[in-house]
This record gives sequence, structure tokens and C-alpha cells, in this order.
Amino acid sequence: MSVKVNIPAVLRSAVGGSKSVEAESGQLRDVLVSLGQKYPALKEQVFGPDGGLHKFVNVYINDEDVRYLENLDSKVADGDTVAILPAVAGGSRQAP
Amino acid sequence: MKFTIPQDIYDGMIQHCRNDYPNEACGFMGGSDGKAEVLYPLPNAAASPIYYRPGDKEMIAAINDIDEQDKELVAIFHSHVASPPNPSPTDRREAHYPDAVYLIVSLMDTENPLTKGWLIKKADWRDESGEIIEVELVIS
Repeated sequence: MSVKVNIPAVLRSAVGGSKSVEAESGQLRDVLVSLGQKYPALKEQVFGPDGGLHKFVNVYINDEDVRYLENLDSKVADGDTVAILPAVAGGSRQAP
Repeated sequence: MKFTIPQDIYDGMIQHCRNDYPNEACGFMGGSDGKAEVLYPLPNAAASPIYYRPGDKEMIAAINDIDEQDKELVAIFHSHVASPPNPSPTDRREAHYPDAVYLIVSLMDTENPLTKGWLIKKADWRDESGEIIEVELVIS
């Protein structure tokens, strides 16, 4: 078994148009780095300049935001689903 | 550019915004070719009158449903409860879906909501600033 990684529309051109790709299980960092080796444009857009997740990229493991798990150290097991989503937020004023 | 919203979907969006008042409300529309076909009212996890952030599980479920139907995320809506339906600096900074119409419903006059649509185009979708373009809304 492996891990399913759902790709948002804005990143699909980086993976040849696929809605999802497969990866080997492991730490989230390893999952994303291995995908980045296969799809360099994906890596460029998912990671920020500090090597962490870009601040406007949200990643979920089985619908749980990895910021509330262990971020890039979060464990991704066989059969899990990883979702990458550009952040959705806004409002009339800055959040307090 | 024109963006078409069927009357029932438009009414559902306005009702969701009223339901969450005095907090901001938010949600998605799925569809294709510049037309909304499915409304996804989402909870505002921020539960705030000045900020919105969709609930994670509901947002992912909506995205998955849109994908499974081979549709696109054609619009992201939210309400402004005390200001006009124009993108705020926060709206501009946090807009990362260049192909979606950002619908803003102003409830300054709760009896007469005013909705405008915007594209927020950025050189890189992760940028904090971009160009805003008003979209003509067709409610049919």
C-alpha cells in the first residue's frame, strides 16, 4: 500500500495534470521530498524559503491540519490520504 | 468576465450569510465554465465578525466532492458584516485561488445584501499582493 496525495487545481500543472499522486509512507517531510524529486515544480511551490511548508500552503493528513499534528514530522501511514490546499481565509479586517 | 449564479444558489448563499450574522460567513461554489452549480456553505472556524477561515473537514469534503463531480471550485464567498463588498487588504493578501471568483456579500444593510464578485490575480498564487478585477455577476 502507499499514500494518496490529493493535488489542488492550482498545483496540477506541476504533476502533469493529475488530481492525485501516490507516494511511499513515512514522515510527511519524506513524502513531500520524494514527490518533489519526481515533480520539482511541486516542491518549489509547497516549501517556503526556510525549508518548512510555505505559509500559504496547508497540508492535511486524513483531514487533520498537520500544524496541529507534528508538522513536517507528522507520520503518514499506508492508506492515509494527504491533501495539499492553498490557504483559504480573509475578511473585512486582519484577524486579531 | 461574467459569472452566473442560479437564483437558488444565490439565495442559499445569502441565507447562509444571514444565519452566521453578526459573524462573517463563508463557503464555496462548484461549477464550470463561469457558472455556479453547487453551493457549499461552510462553517467559519474563526467565528469572527472580521475574519473567516473555513472549517477544515467541511472544506476538504467540499473540495473532494467538487473533484469527484469533475467540477471546479468556481467561487469562494464570504460576508462583510459592516463594510462594503470590496476586497479588504486581508482578502487580497489571503487570496490564493486565482481562477476562482471571490464573492463578497455585504450585510451593512441586512435587509438589502449587496454582492460583488472579484478575481484576485497574482503573479504567483502565493504572493501577498495582486490585481483585483471586478466580475459581472449574472443572477438567473
